[in-house]
This record gives sequence, C-alpha cells and structure tokens, in this order.
Amino acid sequence: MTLLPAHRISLRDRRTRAVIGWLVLLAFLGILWAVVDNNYHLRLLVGAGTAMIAVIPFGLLMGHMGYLAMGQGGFVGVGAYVVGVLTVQQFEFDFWAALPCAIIITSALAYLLSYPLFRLRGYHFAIGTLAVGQLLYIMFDSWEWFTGGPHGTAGIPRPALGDYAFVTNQRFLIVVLFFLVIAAFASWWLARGHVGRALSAIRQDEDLAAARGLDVFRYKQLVFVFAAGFAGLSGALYASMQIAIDPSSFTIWSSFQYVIYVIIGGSGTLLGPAIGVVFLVVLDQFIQDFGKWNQIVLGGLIVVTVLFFRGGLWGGANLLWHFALESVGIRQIVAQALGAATRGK
Amino acid sequence: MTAFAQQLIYGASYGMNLAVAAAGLALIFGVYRVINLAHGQLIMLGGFVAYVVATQLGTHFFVGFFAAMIVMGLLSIVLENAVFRFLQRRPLTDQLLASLGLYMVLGTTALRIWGDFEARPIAMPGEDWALTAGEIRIDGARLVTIAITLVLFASLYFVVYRTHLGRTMRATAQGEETAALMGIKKRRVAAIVFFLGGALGGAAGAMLGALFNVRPDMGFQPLLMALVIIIFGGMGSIAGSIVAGLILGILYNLTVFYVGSKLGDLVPFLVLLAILMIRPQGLFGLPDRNA
Repeated sequence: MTLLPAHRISLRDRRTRAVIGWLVLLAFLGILWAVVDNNYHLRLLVGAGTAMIAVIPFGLLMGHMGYLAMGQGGFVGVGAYVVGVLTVQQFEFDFWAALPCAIIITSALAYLLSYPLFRLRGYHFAIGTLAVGQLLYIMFDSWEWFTGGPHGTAGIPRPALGDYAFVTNQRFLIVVLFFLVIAAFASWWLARGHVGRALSAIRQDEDLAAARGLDVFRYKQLVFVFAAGFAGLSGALYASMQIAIDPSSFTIWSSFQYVIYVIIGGSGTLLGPAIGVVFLVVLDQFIQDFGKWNQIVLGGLIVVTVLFFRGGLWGGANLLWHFALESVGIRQIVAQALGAATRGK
Repeated sequence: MTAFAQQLIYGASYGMNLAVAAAGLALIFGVYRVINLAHGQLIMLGGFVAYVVATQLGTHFFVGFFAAMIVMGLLSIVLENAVFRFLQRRPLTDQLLASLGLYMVLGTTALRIWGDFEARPIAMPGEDWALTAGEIRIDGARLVTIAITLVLFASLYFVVYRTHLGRTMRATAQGEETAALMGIKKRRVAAIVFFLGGALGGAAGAMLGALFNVRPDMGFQPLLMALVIIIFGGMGSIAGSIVAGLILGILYNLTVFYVGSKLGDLVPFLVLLAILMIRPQGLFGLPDRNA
C-alpha cells in the first residue's frame, strides 16, 4: 500500500480524505447499480451517467477556467455520429473499435479548432463556439449520404464483451458507470494539480498569468481537447444507448443543456455539474406534469440561480454544511469523536 | 442577371431587417455591456404584438408596428429592472446565462399561447403592388420595409449623435462612473437604452412577421444573425450593424438562391468564423482587451 502509508491515515490528511471520498463514491455507485431494478429508473440512470461523462470535464472548461463554450453539443454529436457511421451507416465496425475512434476524432477536431477559437475571449469565444456547434449540427443534418441526414442512423449496436452483451439497461449501466468513474477521476486528477492552479489563474486574470510566464494557450488547449474527448465518449455511449440517433439531439439546445447543468449544479466544482445533472433529471420527472411549461420552470430557475445562488446547488449545500458546522456545533462533536478515536487507537 | 439583381434587392431588404434587430442588440451592448440573448424573443413577441393589433383588431399596419415597438420597449425596461441591473458587475457568463433563462421563459410562454403554428399573416402596405423594371420585379412590401428601416436608422442616428439624450448615452458608454459623476442619471440612461433596444427588436419583429409569417420560433434565426452582425460590424457600433447586416442579408439570399437553403444557414457562421479569425474586433470596432 504505497498509496496510503499507515502513518498517514488520519482524517486531517488531504490524501486520506481523497481516497476515502473515492471509495465512498465507488461504493455508492456499486450499491446504486445493485439496488435499482426498475427498468425506467435504470434508463434514467444510464441517461444521466452518459450526460455526466460529458459534463464533468466540461465543468473544468466552463467553471474552473471560466470559458463559456456554447457548442459542446456539437462535439457530443461528432462522437455519436462517428459511432453511427462506423458501426452501421458506412462500415461494420465493432462498438469497441468505434468507441476509441469517436474519442480520437472528436479530440483531433477540438485540437484543430482550438487554434482559431482561442484567439477569442469572453463573448467572442462564447459566440465562436456557438457558431461551431451550429455548423456541426448543420453538417449532421445536411451531409445526407454520409450521416443519414434528418432521418439519422438507426440500429447502432450495444457493446459486448465475449458472450456478455450489454444489451439491457442494467448491463449497459455497467459500461456507463465504468466510463463515468474514468471521466470523474481524470477531471479530478487534472483539477487538483498544476493544471487546476493554471486554470484558476486563467479565470482570474489571464494577462497576468501570461505575464508571469504561464503558457496560457497550452493549458486552454489541453482542457478544451480534454472536454471534447469526453464529450465524444459521451456521444458514443449516447448513440449506443439510443440505438438510433438523429440531428435533433445535437442542436444548440443540447449545447445549452450542458451549460445549464454546470450553472445549476455549481460552476467551478467537480461534483457540482454532476449534481446539476441529477437535479435536472429528477426535476424533469416532476415537472413533466406541467406539460410543455417545464421550459419556463427551467428558464426561471436559471435566472434565479444566476441572480441569487451563484454557487449553484453545490455552493448552497456547502453554505448549509458550514452553517451547520459553525453554529450548531457539529465541529465540536466531530472533533471530540475523532479525538476519542485517535486516542483509542 | 435579372434573378441576380432581384436576389440582391431581396437580400438587402432582409439584411436591413436584421440590421434593425442587430442595432438594438448593439445599442444595449455598447452602452450597458450586456449581450441580451432574450432579444431574439423580443423580436418574436414584437411580431405577435403587431399581429394582435394589426390583424386581430383590424387596424392599420403602422398602428401594429408602433404598438410592437412600444410594448417591446417597455418589456425590455422590465427585464433590465428585474434582472440585468443586478448583473452589471458580474462576469459575462452570468449575463449570458441569465438572458438565456429569459429567452427560454419568454419563448415557452409564446409557444403555449400561439403554439399551433398556424399561418399568422400581417397585412402590410405595398403588398398589392410591385415595382417592375424590365424583367426585374420587386414586391412593394420589400421596398416599404427598406424605407422603414432607413427612417429608423436615421432617427436612431439623430437621437444618438444630435441630441442631449444621445450624448448622455455615449458618455455612459465611454465610462459609466465618470458619466455618473458628471450628473448623468445612470438608471435613466439604462432605461432609455433598453427601451430603444427593445423597440428596435419589436420593429424588426413586426417587419419580419409581415414579410413572412408570425411564428413562436421566428426569433431564433434573427437572433443568431444579429449576434453575427454585431460581431461582424464591431461590438456596439450602429454603423457597423447596417453595413454588416446588408452584407450578411445579401450573402444569405444569394446562397439560398444559388446553392440551397441548408447551405444558406451555414453562411452566417462561416462569415462569423472568418471574421473572428481575421478581424475579431469587427469592421468598425476598436480592439478591446475584455471583449
């Protein structure tokens, strides 16, 4: 156990807390997978997990770095269409062969686009990415012989390992959770080291960071390609989840959806965007009764969040937690309990 | 050749409409530094106000047109007071997101009320005659919209560059706090700027609604076009909006006519990417560190 030497096991240690946090998260996901057996709920979980794979890395770009990209749905679409084209539309690849292609092609596209796009900042960057997203959407829609045009592509297979085919939602959830853990871990690993500090420097004052010798462009490019690669992965899983894809899933609204997840969950945090996905999926179940009014609820929620709860749900939960720690006296209780535990050992 | 000339003029009239929409956006951005995505829905709602007043109540087109301008101007002031005034010192992402939320709220409200997508025409002066020169035939309605936009731009120029009100607006654009220290009431300037911006959006909506039909989703394309136009013309520049609007409208119409409607949709974005690469500050803009 070089990961966690025995003498470092203490709840005050950052690394211990990280390891415990990851173990708790893994246990939670495992229990979730084992407990849920309702097919409709499984379906929701698969959808939410797929969205999270794109949203958590996107949170680094939008929250940590402060670059509002409004075309992420386009990258998700590229991932989905690469799988669609490779497995059904033009070729007959296996899903496992198409998946890395989706990631590589999306990342390569983002790598090329990063050169022109990062000449822009602020509003210009937001609108430039919006244009890229819309261009990709029009491409899916009108490149008919290659992508299937408005009718899309149907019959995309679900993956299989040997004889074990991930065909049911319960089995497919394993694949989604596996990649979700990878996406979350990679984002966490990036955010905690020098990259995370560079991103926060870029968000606070990019010119100052550059003047202090930070190669600002390389970091921006890295995070952009990273987010796009996972968007491609998410799109590939989405295609397999849906069996059939068409351009209407990758409009500008799907791009806005990712922005909304991040802002409502809490931008600038890792778990916030994931919480945003969970919240909106749950909310969607409740406000379906309103019929088509739910966009009004959602829009109003965005305005209220931006106006009053800048930290989003995660920030709100944090505030509550610290309030509880300070005023209700949980801190003393926890400290006493911990003190007793260490003495006992 | 005649087809080309005809498309040129149709493109110009469409471009002028878009320029009016973009000028509202540019005015608000120039003075207040907010990009208001909800502007797209002000355009759409302007179309519906004109439809209700002119078609359903059976009045003249211009009654509906001015009603659209006034109602949208007032709605725009309400939005400023309810939302944007609290976001002035915030990062731009907050402002964009809040206006995106407003866009969804306004858009869905309209979709609930008029969501049956029936054809909703607005009668317009000039619809029953056409100008013919040789083989070129131009609908009167197109010429009327061009005339209206010219009058609108002339009035806007007069207000911004020839009146005390315009001077206070330009002073606020240059430096809000300095302007406030000179005794300019910034809340009043904000209200006027948002009124004018919303009114221009409403005017664009009424004209687009008369040329085509009024639909709950008619605000989306003009919004995208207007965003492209204000970047193309230079953020906050009114002259830039006119020139960029004309160029874009003509390019769009020619592409739709000669290549196909789907590729026509690509035009604004290709233009935008080209502009952002070559001259990010736009035709008439100055380089801006924070833009």
